[in-house]
Amino acid sequence: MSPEGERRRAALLRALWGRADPVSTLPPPEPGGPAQRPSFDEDGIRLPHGAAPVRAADDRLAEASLAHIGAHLAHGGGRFAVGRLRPAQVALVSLIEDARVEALALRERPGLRRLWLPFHDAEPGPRTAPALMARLARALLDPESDDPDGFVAKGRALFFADPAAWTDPALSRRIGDRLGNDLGQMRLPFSPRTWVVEPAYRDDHAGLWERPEAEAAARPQPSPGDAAATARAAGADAPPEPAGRVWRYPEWDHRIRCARPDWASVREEEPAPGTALAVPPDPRLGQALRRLRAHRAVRLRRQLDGDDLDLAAAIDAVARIRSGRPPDARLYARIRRDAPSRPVLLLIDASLSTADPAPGGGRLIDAARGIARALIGTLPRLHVPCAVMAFRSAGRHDVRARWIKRWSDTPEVAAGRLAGLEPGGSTRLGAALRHAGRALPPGPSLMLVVTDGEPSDIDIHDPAYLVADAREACRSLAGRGVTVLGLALTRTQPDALAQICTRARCIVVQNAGQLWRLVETLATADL
Amino acid sequence: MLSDYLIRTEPYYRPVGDEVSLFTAACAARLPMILKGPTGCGKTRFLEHMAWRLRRPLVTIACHEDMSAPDLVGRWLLDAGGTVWHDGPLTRAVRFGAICYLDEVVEARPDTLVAIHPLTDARRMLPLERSGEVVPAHPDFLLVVSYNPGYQALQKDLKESTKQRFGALAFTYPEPGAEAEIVAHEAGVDEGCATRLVRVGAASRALVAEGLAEGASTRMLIHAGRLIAGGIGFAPACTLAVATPLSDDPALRDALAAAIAAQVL
Repeated sequence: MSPEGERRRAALLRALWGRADPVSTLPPPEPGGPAQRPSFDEDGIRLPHGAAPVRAADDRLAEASLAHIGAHLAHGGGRFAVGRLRPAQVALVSLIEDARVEALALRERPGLRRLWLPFHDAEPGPRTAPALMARLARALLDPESDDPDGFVAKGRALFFADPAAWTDPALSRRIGDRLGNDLGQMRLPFSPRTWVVEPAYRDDHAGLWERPEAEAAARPQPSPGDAAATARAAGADAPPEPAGRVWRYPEWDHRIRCARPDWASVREEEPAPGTALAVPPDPRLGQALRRLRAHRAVRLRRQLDGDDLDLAAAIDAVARIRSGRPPDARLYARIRRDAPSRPVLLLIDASLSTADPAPGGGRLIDAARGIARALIGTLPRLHVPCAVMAFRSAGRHDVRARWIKRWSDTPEVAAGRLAGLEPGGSTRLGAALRHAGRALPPGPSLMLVVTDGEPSDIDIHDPAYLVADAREACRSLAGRGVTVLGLALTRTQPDALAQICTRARCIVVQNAGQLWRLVETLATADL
Repeated sequence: MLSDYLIRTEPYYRPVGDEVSLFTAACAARLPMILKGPTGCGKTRFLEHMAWRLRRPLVTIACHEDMSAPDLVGRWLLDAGGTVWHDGPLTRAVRFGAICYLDEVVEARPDTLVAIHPLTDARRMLPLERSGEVVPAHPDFLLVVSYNPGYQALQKDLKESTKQRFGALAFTYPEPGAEAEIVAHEAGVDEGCATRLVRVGAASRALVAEGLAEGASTRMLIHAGRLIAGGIGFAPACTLAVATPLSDDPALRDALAAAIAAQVL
């Protein structure tokens, strides 16, 4: 998985078509099966299996696919009914529809032809149905095509007869029907089972046709992360392996109004050795934080040295010289920035529920990772010490904490580990808060808890129990000068989190783009 | 006195609504105005155009964090004979009747802006604390401020007591047809090229949802257009004037590059 590549793909779809459909990848293909083609439907876009390359130059196929599917989404006219169409007709209607939406796309985005055309490599050769279709697809896109075949020429003539009619999807149906009949009369066999659409950037047409009911029910699930998450969740049910140091923490039982000593056990997982990744700073966040600090700037006047002349002092000095008295040498003014910022520890809830879709697309864990990346890319550059810890749990004996970034780790190493963070387990927030609190240096500090809502664990059935315990943990942290802010990945402020860290300190931050809300809270609230 | 500040040739401005008549009416009513809108969407150009149209001098002050009240109203200076009072730009505009334009007003500290309060209510006068003078506003004096209500105004907003003294016009990027017309006129490129530049602009504005701080301004598109008119290719011109300045984020830059490539003929 390359989050950088995934972000680029999403941004590409947005820049080309102004759309935010979720872009994921298909599960691995069966060995020996037909080549994978991209696919789209109401749930989003799925590209062939494989990690998104980091460099755009290595990802032209996906770029062409997204441009093509965007054209369907922008210019398509709803699903076609299959009715009594034969498979060859379905394929040809789809082919004409592909050409139609591409032709419309080229009206406003003429440069896309250069993106698509290199994938059209069909040349005149043996007359088989798939070969003729690939040649027709090329002839409809390539203005310099001079395919000598009669079938291809007829398709071309029908398609280009009336460019004004391109806006009507029924055109694809009409031309496809006729060409399908021609193909039938040529007695060229067409096997829909082995046929894959050519060229490779085009989608499998699943989004163009009405689905049979049974197939609609059993759609392939996207997101390769799901499989990993399920596997890990299964692993979390197994008894904890006794390895590494164990920290024990008390837990507050709200029914007996008393803390149970040494109740929860926390282990530190070794961070997966990820490859170092570049972390660009979030310029907006950096700017906002700098401003926040600039606001605390104090202008010191009448200094012995400084950046500016203190005009009032200078005038006084001259006045004193004129009146024959010795001048004061403190002629300068300078700006003092506020004392170094408080260290920030980001605590990420990596429980299984963060595999759920986020309000703004993608999974919640992806949003959490985005937030963490923005912070670790930005804070160290502002000389704010920053650490990131993720946690999950499977009962009170097995709370796992994983360092994504220790205080001394570089942002690049942290970003690599962050990319390997996948959801699993439950949310025993209180224990995690206490464990993270240990890692904070003495003195005022800030702890940010990124979560999708409420704490839960497999051995707890009273929903109020973990909330009350986490609130207790927050209180004792507050006593040590730690301000705990909850960052909720949800649409609205979750009640449980608001109870834990108080309503004023619970901020809805659905993704990194909304971190300004955090800055705003830091600026306005009395923390 | 302020003749240097008169605008003598008509600055190009393409109205996008009834802002010209509204501003003229506000001016006649001596109502201080706020111009709101994103970077480079034509606020300053509009005001230059209005100053030309109304034949008033235009005194522009770019506001910044460190600006103090004396920077606006004036201060005592030293010369060979002693101290002399030196009017600040605001005081000059008040005294001699100009449009005083505080650009990016939220950048100034709120306590500095309090200096404009007596000017913006029924009193219409400027008390100069340091020199003990009270300057009544010239009938032609008009105060106009601008700001960008985007992300950067996060903790900076006008004080409510300041805000409520003003009328306001909201600017935004012109709709595509009008923007293409503006780009074509200002950059000297043909309508087709301007339309494609505007589409690049639209793509960049869509990327705000993916984390871009701000989309390309009309001004940026004009810059790209000027490069094209000077013989640079469409893609390199857009890359230089739009994509590269807008973002350091590789994912967003790649997406912009694709949007630019899609507009190359």
